[in-house]
Amino acid sequence: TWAQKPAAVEPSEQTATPAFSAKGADTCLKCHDEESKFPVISIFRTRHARPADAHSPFAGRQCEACHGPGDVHARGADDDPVPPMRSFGIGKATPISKQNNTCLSCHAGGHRVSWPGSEHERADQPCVACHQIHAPSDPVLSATSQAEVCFGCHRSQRADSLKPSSHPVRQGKLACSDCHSVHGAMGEKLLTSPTLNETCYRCHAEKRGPFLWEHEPAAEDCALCHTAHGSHNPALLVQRVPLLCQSCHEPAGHPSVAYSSGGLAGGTANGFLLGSSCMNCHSQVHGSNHPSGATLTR
Amino acid sequence: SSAEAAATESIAPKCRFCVFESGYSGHFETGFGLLSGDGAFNFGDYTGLDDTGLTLIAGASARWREEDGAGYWDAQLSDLGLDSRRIEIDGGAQGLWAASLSFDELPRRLYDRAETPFYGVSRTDLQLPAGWTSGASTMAMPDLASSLNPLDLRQERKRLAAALSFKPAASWGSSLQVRRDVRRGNRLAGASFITMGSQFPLPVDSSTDQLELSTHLNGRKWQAVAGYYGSFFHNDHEALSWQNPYTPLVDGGDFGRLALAPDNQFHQLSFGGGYQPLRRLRLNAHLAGGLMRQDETYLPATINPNLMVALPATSLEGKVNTLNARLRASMGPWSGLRFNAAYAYNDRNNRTQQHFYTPVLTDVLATDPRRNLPYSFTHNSAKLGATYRYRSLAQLSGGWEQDWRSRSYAARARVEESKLWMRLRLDPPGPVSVSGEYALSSRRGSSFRAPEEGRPLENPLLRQYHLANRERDTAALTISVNPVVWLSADVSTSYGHDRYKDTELGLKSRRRTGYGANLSLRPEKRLSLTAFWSQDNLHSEQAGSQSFAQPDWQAENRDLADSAGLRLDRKSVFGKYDVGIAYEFSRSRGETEVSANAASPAFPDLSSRRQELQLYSLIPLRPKLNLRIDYRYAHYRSRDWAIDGVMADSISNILWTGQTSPSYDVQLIIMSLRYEFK
Repeated sequence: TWAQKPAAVEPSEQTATPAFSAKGADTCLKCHDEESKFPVISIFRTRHARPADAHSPFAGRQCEACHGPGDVHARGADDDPVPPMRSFGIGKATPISKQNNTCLSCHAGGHRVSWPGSEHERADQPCVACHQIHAPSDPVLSATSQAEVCFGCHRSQRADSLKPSSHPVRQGKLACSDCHSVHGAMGEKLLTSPTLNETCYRCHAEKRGPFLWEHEPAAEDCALCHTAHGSHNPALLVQRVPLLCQSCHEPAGHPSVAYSSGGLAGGTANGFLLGSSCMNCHSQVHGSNHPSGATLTR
Repeated sequence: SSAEAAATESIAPKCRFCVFESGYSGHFETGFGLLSGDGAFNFGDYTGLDDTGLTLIAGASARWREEDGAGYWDAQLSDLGLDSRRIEIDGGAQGLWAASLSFDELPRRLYDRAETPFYGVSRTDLQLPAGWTSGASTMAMPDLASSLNPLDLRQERKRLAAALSFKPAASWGSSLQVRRDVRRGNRLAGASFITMGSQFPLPVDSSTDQLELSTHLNGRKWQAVAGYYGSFFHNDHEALSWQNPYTPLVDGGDFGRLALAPDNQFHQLSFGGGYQPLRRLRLNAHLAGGLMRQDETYLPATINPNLMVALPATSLEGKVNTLNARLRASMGPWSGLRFNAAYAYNDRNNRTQQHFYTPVLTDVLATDPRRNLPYSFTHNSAKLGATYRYRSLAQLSGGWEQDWRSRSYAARARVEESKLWMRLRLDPPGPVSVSGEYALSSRRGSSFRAPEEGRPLENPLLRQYHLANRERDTAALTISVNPVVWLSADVSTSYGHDRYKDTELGLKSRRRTGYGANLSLRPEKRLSLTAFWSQDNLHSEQAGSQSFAQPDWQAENRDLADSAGLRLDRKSVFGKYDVGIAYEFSRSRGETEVSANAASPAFPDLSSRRQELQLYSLIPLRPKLNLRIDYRYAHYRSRDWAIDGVMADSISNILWTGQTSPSYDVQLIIMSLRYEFK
């Protein structure tokens, strides 16, 4: 069989006056036990199954609060095919916008204010592409397992996370959501803060300044020199020093010399090439607050 | 038919079969890990597994749910025996309020085989051994070899966070989050007297406190949020001084002093809202205004008492205002067709006062007075896009974006960039779907101008790459195959090319190509397999001038990175054992070519290679009691010509620290008992 793809015709709930099943979840659980094709018992270990919370689906229509009226579905349980209900996931019959509106009818506030028109919404991603609603511990909500969920689509970021210089995503010490507000954000790339630099400063506040002597590209955009997801070069740099520095600096009196392999250890061991290269002297590349730090050497 | 409406009606049928959770449950896990092999220090970077021998493995979780109530508590404790331990506790009354407390440690292990002759009277006052004989170069320092002491470069970041949120009604809620990050440890830093430099350990003892307060309101057609964010950085040290190991260039030049990152603050107020006046129209707006402040008392202009100069102020009194605004509209006038429009404004207005300072260059030479140049910039962008979806079979998107940037004191005051893009996704009946995208952008700007007073004179042919004219192409293609529900595979390729055609000096081209393949199999509930491979190539070209005239040298960098992984999990083998295997492989190679001196041999490759194999099994011993056995083998090698083989006295004018590229070859066996309770 081909994998199921969205059907052109929406489920019957759209066209007929829907009816809820008379016994609610009890009706569903008659079939959907742990041995069924779609087991649901684990939902009772989630926040959605808390009747004492007035906002919880189980304080209302229970399963049908999200899956829609199920009377027709339940009565046709022995039919082939079984009459559909509102179903969730990529490739399901229910349109993704309808799936997501179900979730947003309770979860539209807070940081999801920006969801409509955001990158993931425009990419037609259903909420359940990332969230496991019936799982007691949703993997995407844990720093140790979240990245694997994101890497399911963001493959180049997974490859970057394996490079020699990377943030500790692979080690489970940093979650993608520490930097990205995945439900929509004010700034570019779904960053948690309005700008890239403000996002970086959340962990690297020592680089924020303002400094007496600023290195303008550093104050403006960390990504001019660093790549956030992983690099072959130390300190997540986009290119090796000294060539990275020489892309932008050709000052008079301090010539941009073509440092060749003759300057390696074993050769003339050139201090402008080896070690930290330019930063052997200009170590304050993020800015200096020293009165004599104009050249970022103090 | 909304879930909320359904949920809030008092219509919940009595449920006989529902197994609502109540009471306590959780697990305890304890055991030992045995780490053996070489290079454990490097393996411990971020993992905390940095000592060979036995390690305590301990973790636990606990949860409580109130019977017939909304109360709950959760606790998670992991890696308690390691420097990467984490503790998270949260609880409250679901739907009304929640509180959480967490503690997390992040170990950095940088280099363990460095060495230095400096020792700290305090960690910010580095001195050389008594009787040190200075020299004109590192080779002429007779006491250097006998004075080298081992140096570990490591840092610990400890993070304590707490949060409290209230949701008195479905229509509004508030939350407060506070976080303290404390860093302790050191990193390497360099500084010099003119060109006579040294590397030494620099302390990173600091803390950052962050506070976020937000309130959100929801109406039938609108949502709103308002918040405050504050961040307060405090450095325990303001400066680092070190003894000059070289023959002083001037009288009194026996010490140098480096300023460390100053204390600073950032405050930001933000407002956001969404409004849906029509069913198919959605409007969003965000506004954030911020203030950066920095008022650390200045160090003297030099540590050299013979070169002291007066300062025009006692501190910077730095003030930077930030303003960020974004408007977005999303409209779907007809089924399948949708338009998006967005406008964004980002402004950094540096209001710091300007003064003339007389820098004492590297504590050696008083230079001409120089004025500080507080940096400001403004960034505007507008985007228009449309998406047309034909049923679920095809989706075509396209758009136009325009970007305007202006910068103070930059070699080019204004640049603007136009971008056109399109994306097509085909999902015909059958197992194959295809998506592709292409974007083209072009950047131009105002004329290049002479540097501001006080800035170094750059070669007039230089075009810094964030200011230069640029043509950018990016493209990507993904083909996915999904022949059966339990199998999916895809192959993809991507391409990006930045061309700086009008640049004679500086970066001229940067090109990136990538390839990837992924496979996911889940033939039954108990068995899953995923595999991936990817390759990434980055190629850059640039030109320089060592004669401060026309270009007289070219350089190329080629970075190649491969990565691959495989993971297989099988549950209930023989009806009771869970087993799994995971393998990761990555390697990278960096080639450097500099064309000026044809007689020089090519640079050796920069390289890295990492392999990691993990096996695990979960063996039930008794009901609720399991034995977990993990085996992990990790191998890493890296080579970097910038540091490998560079000893303390290899470079005549840099007293280096002699570290080598990280590598490890370790095995880890973990045996732990896991007891689950309910």
